[in-house]
Amino acid sequence: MGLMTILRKVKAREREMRILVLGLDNAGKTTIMKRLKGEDVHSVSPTLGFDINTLEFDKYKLNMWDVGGQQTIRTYWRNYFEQTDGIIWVVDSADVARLSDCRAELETILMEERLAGASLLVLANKQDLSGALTTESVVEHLALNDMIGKKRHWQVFPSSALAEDHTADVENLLMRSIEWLVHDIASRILLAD
Amino acid sequence: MNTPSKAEQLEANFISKCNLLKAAINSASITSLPSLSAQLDSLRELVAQGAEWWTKYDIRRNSETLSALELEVDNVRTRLKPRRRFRFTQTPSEVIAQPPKQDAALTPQKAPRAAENGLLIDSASVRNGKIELDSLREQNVSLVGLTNVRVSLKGSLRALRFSQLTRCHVEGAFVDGSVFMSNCDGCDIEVACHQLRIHESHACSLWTCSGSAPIIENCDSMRFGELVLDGRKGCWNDVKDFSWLREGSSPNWQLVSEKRTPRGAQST
Repeated sequence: MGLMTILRKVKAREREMRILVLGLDNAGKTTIMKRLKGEDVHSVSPTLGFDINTLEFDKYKLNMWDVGGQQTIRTYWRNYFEQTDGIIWVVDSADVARLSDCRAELETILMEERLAGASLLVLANKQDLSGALTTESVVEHLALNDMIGKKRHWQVFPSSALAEDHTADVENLLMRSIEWLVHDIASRILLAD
Repeated sequence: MNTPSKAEQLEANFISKCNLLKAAINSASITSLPSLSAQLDSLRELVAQGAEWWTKYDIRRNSETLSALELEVDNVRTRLKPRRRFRFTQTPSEVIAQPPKQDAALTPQKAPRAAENGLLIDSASVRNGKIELDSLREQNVSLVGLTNVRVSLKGSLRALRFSQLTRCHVEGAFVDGSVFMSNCDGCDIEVACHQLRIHESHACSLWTCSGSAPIIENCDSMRFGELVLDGRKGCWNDVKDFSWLREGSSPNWQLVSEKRTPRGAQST
């Protein structure tokens, strides 16, 4: 446990968190990152490798790794797993046909030992599209209760990162979801001694 | 000119096929099992060919990779069909169990669930080999399981999905958000969009003007041409092939010099 104590102290001092943003391609991961940073969401293009975004939140510094979701490069996700405090799993709620893929990929990463402790925030994105599943049906279709249950801290939030209207609401909601994640990680890692 | 040696070509082919198979293993379902076996066969063949050209080290390394993949496929098979612990060859019944391609196009998998998804257009909407959708406004449209159909879309869309289209012609697609295309064959598509992703498709021609580089993955014989729109400069020729993560240009797509202007083009 010696190492863990040192790690905790280092982290507490720096107040840094490492967060992985994952999900199938076309889920809206980069758009969400752009929204969080208040940047133009219309310039988003498919992520070829990964982007690191640093976000100040409360008194914490979040290092968010936005990793491309194309099938061929999903195998490289595991290169980013080390020392991850939180996972943001982004779901395209309007892509019903690929929900089973989405579930399978999520299941795979949740089995990963290196991610065992990480808090999980699921964003049911694209709520602004007609035919998008509600947050509840996303939970149901992904069978999140069965898959995760009480094994880790998790929450699902709706989001519509590309929405043109009510942008203030959109950003508020996103911030609330990030707030949950950050506080959950903080209570788990920084204060647990 | 520096042309790759036979050994390098085989090596490149082997690696890209391994990656494809790994991807397929990760997303395996009961219906994709025969395709996994077929992919293994083609890898075995490559290793056999490579034995003549590769160095001893490469032969051993690639054979090890192959055995590891064989093991993985076996594991997937046991996971998906847990009751059959032993199997030696692909049985005829398994081949029959996989629906022929045409049927797959008519009855897409997961159709009842896809129907929940926005505006779903399937073969039921075809009139005289055509589908015409007028006055679309910011809609989320899915075109699924069509064969030999001319589709004309008028208006604007938020998101568009093509799935299991065979020899279809699609025009007038103006999409604010992203376009996602999968399992299409021999289609001719004109689409202006923000993002374009194409998976598991074969011999399709796309005339496009996209906000970002078009992406293809597990595709072959794809052709890309420019869709000329007033006052909009888009991407069409910088195609990213995720099944070709090596240096050099991908053999899976090519550019065509023919340009197209959308019929009844919108002036935005």
